Amino acid sequence: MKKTRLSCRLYVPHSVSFTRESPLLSMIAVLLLAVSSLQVQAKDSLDQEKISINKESAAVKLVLKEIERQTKLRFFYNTQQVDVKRKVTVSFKDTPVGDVIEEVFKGTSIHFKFAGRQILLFDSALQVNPDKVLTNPMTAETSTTVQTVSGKVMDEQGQPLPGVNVIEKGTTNGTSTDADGKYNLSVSGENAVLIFSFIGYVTEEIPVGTKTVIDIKMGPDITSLSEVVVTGYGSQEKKVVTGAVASISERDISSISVTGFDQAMQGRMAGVQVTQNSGEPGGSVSVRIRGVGSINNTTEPLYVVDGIPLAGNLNGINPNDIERIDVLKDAASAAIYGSRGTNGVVLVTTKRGKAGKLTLSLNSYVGVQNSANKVDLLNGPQFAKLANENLANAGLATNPAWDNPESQPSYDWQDAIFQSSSIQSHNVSVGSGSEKSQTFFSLGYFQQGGLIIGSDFERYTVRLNTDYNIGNRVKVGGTFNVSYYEKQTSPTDNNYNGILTNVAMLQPTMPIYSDVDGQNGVYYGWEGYNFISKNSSVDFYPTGLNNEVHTNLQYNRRYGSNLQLLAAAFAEVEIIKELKFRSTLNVSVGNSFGDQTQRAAPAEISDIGQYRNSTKYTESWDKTDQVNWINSLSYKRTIGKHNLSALVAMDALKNNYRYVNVDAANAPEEQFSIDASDSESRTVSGSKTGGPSTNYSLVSYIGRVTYDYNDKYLLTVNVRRDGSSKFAPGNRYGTFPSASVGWRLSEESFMQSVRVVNDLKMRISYGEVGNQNIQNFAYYNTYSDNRGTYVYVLGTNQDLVSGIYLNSVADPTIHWEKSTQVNFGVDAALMNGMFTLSADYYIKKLSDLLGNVNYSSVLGIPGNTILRNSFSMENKGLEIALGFNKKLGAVDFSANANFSTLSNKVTKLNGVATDYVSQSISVNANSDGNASTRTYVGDRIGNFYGYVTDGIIQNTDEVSNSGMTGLSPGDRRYKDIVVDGVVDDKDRTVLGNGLPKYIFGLNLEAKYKMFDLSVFMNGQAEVEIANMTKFYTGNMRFYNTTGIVNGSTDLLKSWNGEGTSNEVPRNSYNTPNSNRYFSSAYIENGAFLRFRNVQLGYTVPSAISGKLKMTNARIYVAAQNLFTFTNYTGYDPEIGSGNINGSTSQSQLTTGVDYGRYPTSRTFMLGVNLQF
Amino acid sequence: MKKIIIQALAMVTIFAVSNCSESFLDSKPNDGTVSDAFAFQDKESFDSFTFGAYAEFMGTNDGSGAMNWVIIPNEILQDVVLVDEKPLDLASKFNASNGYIVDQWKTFYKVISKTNLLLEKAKGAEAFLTGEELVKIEAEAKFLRGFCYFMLARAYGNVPINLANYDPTKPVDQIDGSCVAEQQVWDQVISDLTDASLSLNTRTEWGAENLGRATKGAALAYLANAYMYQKNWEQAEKACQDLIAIGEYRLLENVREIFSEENENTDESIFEVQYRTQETNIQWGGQPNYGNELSVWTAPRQIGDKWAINGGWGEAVLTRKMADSFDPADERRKELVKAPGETYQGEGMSEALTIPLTISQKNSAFSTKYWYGPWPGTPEGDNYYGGVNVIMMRYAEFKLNYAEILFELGNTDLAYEQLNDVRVRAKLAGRPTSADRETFFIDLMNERRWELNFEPNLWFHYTRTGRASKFFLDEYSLTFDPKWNKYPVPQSERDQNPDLCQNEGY
Repeated sequence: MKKTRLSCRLYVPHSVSFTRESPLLSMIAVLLLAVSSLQVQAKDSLDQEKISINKESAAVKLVLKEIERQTKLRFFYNTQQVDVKRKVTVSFKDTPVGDVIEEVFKGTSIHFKFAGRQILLFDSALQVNPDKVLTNPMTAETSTTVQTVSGKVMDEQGQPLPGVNVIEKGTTNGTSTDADGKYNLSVSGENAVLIFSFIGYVTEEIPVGTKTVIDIKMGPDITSLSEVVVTGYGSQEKKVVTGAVASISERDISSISVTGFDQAMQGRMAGVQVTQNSGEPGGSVSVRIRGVGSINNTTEPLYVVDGIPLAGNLNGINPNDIERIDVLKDAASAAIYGSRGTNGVVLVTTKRGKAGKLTLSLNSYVGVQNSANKVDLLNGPQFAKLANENLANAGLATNPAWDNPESQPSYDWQDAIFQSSSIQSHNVSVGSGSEKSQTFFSLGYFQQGGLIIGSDFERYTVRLNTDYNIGNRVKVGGTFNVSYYEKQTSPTDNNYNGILTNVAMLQPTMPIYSDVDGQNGVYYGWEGYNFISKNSSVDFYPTGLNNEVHTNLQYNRRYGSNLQLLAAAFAEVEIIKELKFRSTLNVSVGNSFGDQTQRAAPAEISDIGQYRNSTKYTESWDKTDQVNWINSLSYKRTIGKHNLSALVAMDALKNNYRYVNVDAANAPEEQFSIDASDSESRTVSGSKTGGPSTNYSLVSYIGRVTYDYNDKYLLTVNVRRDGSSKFAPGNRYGTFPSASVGWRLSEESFMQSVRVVNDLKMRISYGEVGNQNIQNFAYYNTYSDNRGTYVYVLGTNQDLVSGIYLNSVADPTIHWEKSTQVNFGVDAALMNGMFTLSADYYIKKLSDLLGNVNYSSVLGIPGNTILRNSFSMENKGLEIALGFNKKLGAVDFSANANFSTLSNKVTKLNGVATDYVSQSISVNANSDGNASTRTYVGDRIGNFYGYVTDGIIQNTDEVSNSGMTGLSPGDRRYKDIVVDGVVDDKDRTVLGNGLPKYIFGLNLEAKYKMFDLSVFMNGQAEVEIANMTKFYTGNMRFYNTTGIVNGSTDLLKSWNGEGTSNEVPRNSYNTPNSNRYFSSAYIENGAFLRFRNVQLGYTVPSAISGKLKMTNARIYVAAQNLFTFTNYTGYDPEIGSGNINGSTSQSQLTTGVDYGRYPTSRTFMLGVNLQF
Repeated sequence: MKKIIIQALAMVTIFAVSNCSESFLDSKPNDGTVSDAFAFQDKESFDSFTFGAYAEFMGTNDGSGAMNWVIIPNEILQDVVLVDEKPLDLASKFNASNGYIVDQWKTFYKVISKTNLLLEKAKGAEAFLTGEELVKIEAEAKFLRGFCYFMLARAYGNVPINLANYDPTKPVDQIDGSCVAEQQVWDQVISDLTDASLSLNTRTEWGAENLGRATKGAALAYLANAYMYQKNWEQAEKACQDLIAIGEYRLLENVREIFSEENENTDESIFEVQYRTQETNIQWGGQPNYGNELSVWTAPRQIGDKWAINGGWGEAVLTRKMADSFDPADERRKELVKAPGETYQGEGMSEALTIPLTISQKNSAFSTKYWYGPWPGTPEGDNYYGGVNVIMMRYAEFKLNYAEILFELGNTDLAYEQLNDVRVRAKLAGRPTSADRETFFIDLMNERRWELNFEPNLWFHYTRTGRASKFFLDEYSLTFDPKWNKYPVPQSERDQNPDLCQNEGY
């Protein structure tokens, strides 16, 4: 894909930035070095080219266009200096072009200069600081010219770059490249160094030596301040952006193998925390921008793809199609999205066709994934020994089968459940276009096998983006994206019956496959128990534990597919100059299908285990439709040094959601779908129809004004008024204003002498946004007549009469959750862009958060709660992004680091009876002492709440002082926090929190000749994980009920007499529940540093690739998740929100709870990027 | 020109949407959820909402209801003991955190809030209802509310009075209502029940189809009982006379007939909570929709599938002492109480059972008021939820109350006449008339115990008359703690609402 230059506008101090007006390329901005005020005489013979022109009272601009048309010359000028709207009358026949231009600007201070085929127009009256004058090739004195260097400058795609400045270092001697990217310069000698600079590209320094020809390729400067940032309903040059916006480009997105683009943001942007909720293929990702934005509602940001709020699944967007992602972090920026801005806005821009040569790109990789980490579990002999000890210590009979531990076999269940699998991605895209029409077309295929058996993901995507110019004033276009994916999952994120915790508990002495004659190759499972139980007692083998290998491959299947169509068409009309009307209509349709089959197991198995004795089949369908119509009117105007732009827009959106679920119990054993013809053999039970079905609509009025004075004093004001169907008629509308100001100090004259500073901008913003992503119709009292479950009996016939009842009492004044945010920011570029810095400090106050307010049951309110806007919270943080770009010898080196802090505090929980909000994270309430998180006013959201371990009770004296009853030496002791001599649930306290206080990312890149290497790391610190897997693996008795299970190797260090251990309790079948209480023993440091991507690439020399008609060919090898440095003992320290029995509804309150999460895989890949 | 057209087009497009935005935002839930706007637009929806209030009495939706109203007070009285024949630990029962204490409270207030909503909505529904319909709806709602306050006042004493639909827009920190003096609660009971008694249908007026709904008689019986708490004997007598004047109630000849699943809502019954057999397998901790677990709870433990659902759980059985307090000739002892060694064949039993002397609950006796066999027409071993109704008030109890009222008014002869009617029905000789207060009350309370054991109101006659202490000492050698005259106010309610007072002693 050809890197666009249309967005490039690099700011260099004291330069004048010129706009190239061209009928071919609508907007190309070029850096031109400042020129002196001296009159320039055109010496080039180009000025002698003859033209004929006859225009009466025509705008200067039209004259220039005509000249461009007749010659191959191109004008460059700054519209702030050159008044091209001035009317002139010209009449020439076969006149040298230079004369024509002179005539056009006669009587003005505008002078012109030829630079190759480019004609630079500039205002000679402007005062220029002589220090900053780098060159004037026409007048520069070249003292001792001993050598002439020529060459060609190309972009990274091998296309010629015109207008590149080529300067001899330390002198004012220089030139710029012509339309073919060629230059010719006399330099002082072999010691000369050439500096090539061009906006949007990394400046190159090349020693001349003895060379007479120096051809170079310039790479884009991704850290450039010249980018154009998408700001919602429009875009803005980064240098004048006054809000806190973080961006990543195509390069960042494509350099890493991800399913969804949300994952690609991980570690790249300060203040944006991306956590994989599950490492399963196609697994969900949680994105939190500036912390948690709600207590009861979603904290995921709003995703807007090409201007359209994404109604469907994130996985439906192919990351390869994405040009850039901009994240609106502060409220001032997000206010343009009003009631949906609280959690930040992620703006995704997909690639579009460009005028010019057709390009065909092929990007492919194939890779292999495997498990990065296994947990340490007992092997067969260790298990057998400890298992019998466990029984013996409780005075129970031991299992003769485990009598000779050394001779026990050892089966590794983790190895059996983990697999190596493939990952591959193939993308073909074609970009082409003429002046009239541009097209981008892409086809993508992505496949990822699962790390755990029974899971995989496969996706197909097609995208077509088109743009047409009809005349000079009308543009129309469309965006079409179709995606289809299929997914199979293995349930891990579950507090009960997660595969990984079950696997950890399966006895290592049990064969995974049966070794019994006649059962060869049969999965070991409950069949096997018949064999083993001949000499067993019930205490030995738990009956509630599945053979997960067996289950996943033979009995259970969870399948999902999703078909999604996102289509949008737009038309843009330029009504008068720079007044544009744009209308976009979007239709999104998403259909998901899911089925789950639990096949019947043979009677001898189902009688013993947890398998079903009849097949159960569940099928669910849901669909989301969205229609969105956006109309906007935008205007831009420059009056002298005043730059003004304004936007008004209207946005109407309707979203419908329906869901149908059918349970078929007693389905035929082999049935994998509902067979209508076989309805006799099964009964449909459960919710066979209905399910939640809901809709909402949103009408919005949007206004924005940006103003700047000479690019120096900047102001943006946004306001959005949203009306939402989610609220009662009187409360439907909310207004979300914001204002932000910026001051580019580097533009001030007193900064001109500070040469080290190229750019320095200070920003302050304030804004108010909302969160409307709440349950629909929450303002209604709802009634139900749940026939069959809410009935009374009347009459002599005992008729069942159905009772209507009030289902929920609503607060009719319910409204948006609000967020106000102040942001202080600074952006700087130092030492010719060698260093860049962007830092932000924000205070985000969240108020009117929805929470369940408790009411006395005297009021008879169903559930005794009403959802009301009555909680508040505050997030504060510092975000720093640093960049370094430098050519070190022959190596192009760049480093980009980001670091952010988050401090979170709940400030109000009005109406909560208990002064805190509690959320259970319990695995087994009885045995783990009600593991929960608690959220208190004045503290962070979702603190882990439990007992504090105080070591192991060593002797009987300590038993009597323990404050608990029923303990023995070797049992866990807890601190008596509320000192009353008794340890009970009052002694629970805050143990930690799963929200990291610090997150960071570091990306290092180096290029040497044709090789490129990048290393990308990310991590988090000051964070805790509640490792709930310890509940399972820290004890050998299954759930404290019946049966022996395997556990962690920690059990080898169990307490075994006074002084033997102060950490691991005694290993006995009869230990009190309190040994398993959720306590500080479960809390681990969740900090990690992960080498997320290491990539080594080689670009084939153009001499070779050119022969294959390729403009670019690169091959690379990459490794993802190569290392992770952490002290965490579970599978993976990257823990998102807890998933309580399949529900993530209270995810904010369960962050950092690990129930045995599907870990991220380590992946090795080989890939190619080809361009034709 | 072209420019103008384009401009005009742009303006029209932008504002076309804005003009229709209000209707655009008028989304409605489309999943069948009914909102305020659609509820209460016809008599059927009012009826249906009223049924929803009755349904709370079944306790099927939160596990608390008439079954507990029967069992808990009788366990407190000590005549009913737990499965292991141990008496209830009174300290744990009279505990502000006890689940039963909390759940009862919640159920009553739930019904109260439903009736408040009914009354409020009825006022706004003149357009949909006839004047007659409106009056009937209000009368039934007021009965339900008066009944709930009656149950609350006698059990908890000082409780909050909530008579309005809650306004959810009130500031969050506003107090939800503090308790008022018990006297005021009784005033509310009397006000509601008086209103109800004026307009409610009689049994006959309701007709066979609506059998089971609250009647004029029910309102009067509870009104009389409420006046007894007030010691307003004149008004109590008037309420009794009004009830008798309806002419719908009588004592059945045979005590066994009163408690029948086959033939419920008899002429003796004044107010019953209705249940129906539910063909869902019974399970411990399960929640039925319209059946209950009383039969399985009161049948002897593990007596067998032939004689009890699920073989019988014996969770609540009579003490032998209670059984032995009867005159052996008493029909109520012979028909309604069975001890090991005795023979019983109740409804739903294909053959008679002689309770073995070897059963685990051999030192207990069993009330047959709720004990039924496997349900008629269902195979043995089908462990369905039972359909036995819980009689909240019946004519025999009414007569004993009437006797007390008459005695307080000095009409001793007529008082004994009422009491002896009940005795005669039990095939016992009448008690001799005595104007001695203690003698009368001993006779009356004995009669109540024999007649009303294992029914919802017995315990409250002891607390109301101040005779609980003597009963505990005489019968079970227990020292009575005066605070036991009232249940504690649930602690969870007081946590929520600090203004809520606690009863003395807790």
